[in-house]
Amino acid sequence: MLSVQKISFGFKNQKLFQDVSFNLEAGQLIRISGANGSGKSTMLGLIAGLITGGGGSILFAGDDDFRQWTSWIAPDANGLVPTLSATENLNFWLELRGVKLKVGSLQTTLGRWGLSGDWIQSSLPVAKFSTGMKRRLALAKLELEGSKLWLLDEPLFGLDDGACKQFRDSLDRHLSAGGASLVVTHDDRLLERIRHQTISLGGTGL
Amino acid sequence: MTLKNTARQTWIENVRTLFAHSLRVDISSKERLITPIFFALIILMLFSFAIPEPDVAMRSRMMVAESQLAIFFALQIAFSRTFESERIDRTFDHLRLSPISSSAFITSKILHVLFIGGGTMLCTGILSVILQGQNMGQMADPVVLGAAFLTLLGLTGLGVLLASITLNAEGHQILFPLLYFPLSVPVLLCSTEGLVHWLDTYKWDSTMRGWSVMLIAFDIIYLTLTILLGTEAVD
Amino acid sequence: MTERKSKFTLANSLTVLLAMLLGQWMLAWLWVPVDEAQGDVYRVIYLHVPAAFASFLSAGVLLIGSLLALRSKDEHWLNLSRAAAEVGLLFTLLTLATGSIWGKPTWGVWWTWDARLTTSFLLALMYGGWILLFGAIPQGPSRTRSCSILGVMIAADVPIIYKSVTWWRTLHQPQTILRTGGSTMDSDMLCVLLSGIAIMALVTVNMILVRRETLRLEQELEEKSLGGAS
Repeated sequence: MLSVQKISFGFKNQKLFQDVSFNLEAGQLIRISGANGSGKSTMLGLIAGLITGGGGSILFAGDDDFRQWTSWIAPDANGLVPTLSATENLNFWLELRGVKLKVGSLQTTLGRWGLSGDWIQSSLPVAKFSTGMKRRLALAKLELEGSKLWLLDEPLFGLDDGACKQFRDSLDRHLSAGGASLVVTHDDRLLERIRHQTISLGGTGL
Repeated sequence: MTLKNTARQTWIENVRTLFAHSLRVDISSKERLITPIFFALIILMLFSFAIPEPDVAMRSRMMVAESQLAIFFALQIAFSRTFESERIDRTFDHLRLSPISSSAFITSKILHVLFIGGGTMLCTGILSVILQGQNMGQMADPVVLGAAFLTLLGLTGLGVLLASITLNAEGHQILFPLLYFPLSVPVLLCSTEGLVHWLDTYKWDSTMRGWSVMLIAFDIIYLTLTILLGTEAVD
Repeated sequence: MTERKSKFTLANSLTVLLAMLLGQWMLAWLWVPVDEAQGDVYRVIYLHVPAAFASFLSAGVLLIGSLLALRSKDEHWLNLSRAAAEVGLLFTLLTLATGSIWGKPTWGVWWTWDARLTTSFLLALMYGGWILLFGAIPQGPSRTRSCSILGVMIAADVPIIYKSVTWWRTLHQPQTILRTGGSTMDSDMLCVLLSGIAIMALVTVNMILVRRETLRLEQELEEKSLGGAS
């Protein structure tokens, strides 16, 4: 699905990481670990194409636009418009991807993520949501997008234990259905019962 | 949940979704629509304080100048905020990772700014005609409307392109007008001079033709640059 | 070694060119006859006109640097654009200053919204804006793109501004536009003026290249010292 060959990245003359290679296949999960400042988020951004530069090659399977089957969770942001409601926000992103949902499935999914009720879903602007609620909304979006490849950067940010467990199940289902994922997390709760490989960015850190 | 999502939007659908979303965002935070018009009102008021009642010979020149400047500043406020909603919550990065083409994104922005700019222009125009005690019929003249549209088109191209290149700049709120003012001089000159000439003579002569050709040339150059380079800037 | 040599030649040729410019200016002051109507002050045009040409020439170099940067996505072309913008700003300010000095005794005012002065004024604002934008974006591909796009816009705007402003002014007050060139000019005067323009063009290109070289060295020094520190 994804083949990364000898990628390097650095600012000025200081190398963050060098010659990192791995392959990601269907059903596989790879965790990128390392100290703060070792370049984990940078590597994810590089693979997603948000950051350019550095050396090496990043190849996605297939000829089509990889963004069509890739979803991304940012560590510190959810891409939500604060003045719009949860459903308005989600509908926009899903529509852009051409995702057609069955009637009611948006409401059911949001309900599963603890965002139930018409008022919370369609009336309350997202600005009024708590950090955890916004994150739940982003994860519900991730599920609904139905992408093959999940690029997750600290997906548990702001989540409580219940939501954390729920996301673990969601990730499990994603992998057994043939999805793949690249995860950056400091939280061991997420991956304790999921089979995964780890890439350590040694790095000297800051 | 399915992993077989092969659906994808066409280019036109991309533009429509992005455009509709921008409008929804504007409506949800009304101040974005109101501030430019509010600003125009203040400028019109300042004008009436600063400038004495013009004599008959200068009347059309004063009217055009005041309206143009009020509209120009109001549009500048509207343009400089073109990418405001993308700056929030890393929306721009999320958009870059969505399967949309950058030309669809720029096109939707141009449409959005044209729409907002058109509304701002209309409101400011009506206000300035009323506040200057002019005849509303002057506004409905096809030449006046055409000049207004061509001006809007040129300023929109310039505004979107400048907003896209100052996207990552520090202090973009200050930088935007600094770049916008000198670059927009030709379009302002052409439309002001053309309109004054028209309101003075109501004759479609060589002077009118000259200014219109220049205005259209400016529009074409800037819209082409915006579509070519704006795609590059947001890619 | 070849690199050092090329820098040496660049700096040397700039010296030679500046000497030529000085020579041309001496000619302008000592040899060319005085203008009957305007007196000695008219001689400032031997600096003013070449400087104005140089400021337009810089816009051309800015366009070339920007297009090359956009095409190759290579950051080092940005140095050329930046050098062009800085040299362009310098010559535009020189044009404005000499224009003012000439304008005071000739028109009786330091400043008037004459077509050429207005064009130069706007050009100075645009060069300044470019330099500000350059400083406001952190180094990286997005700065290269944004600055190059602005460079293309400025270069595309210069002829439109020139045309529209000239037309605007000639329509309303043709009498204020003083024509110095054309058939009324003495052949000695024309000769010195044209040679001045030619020398100034060479000086401009040379200055831009020298500035580009110093910018490159600055960058290299910065990278080397940061690399050594880590």
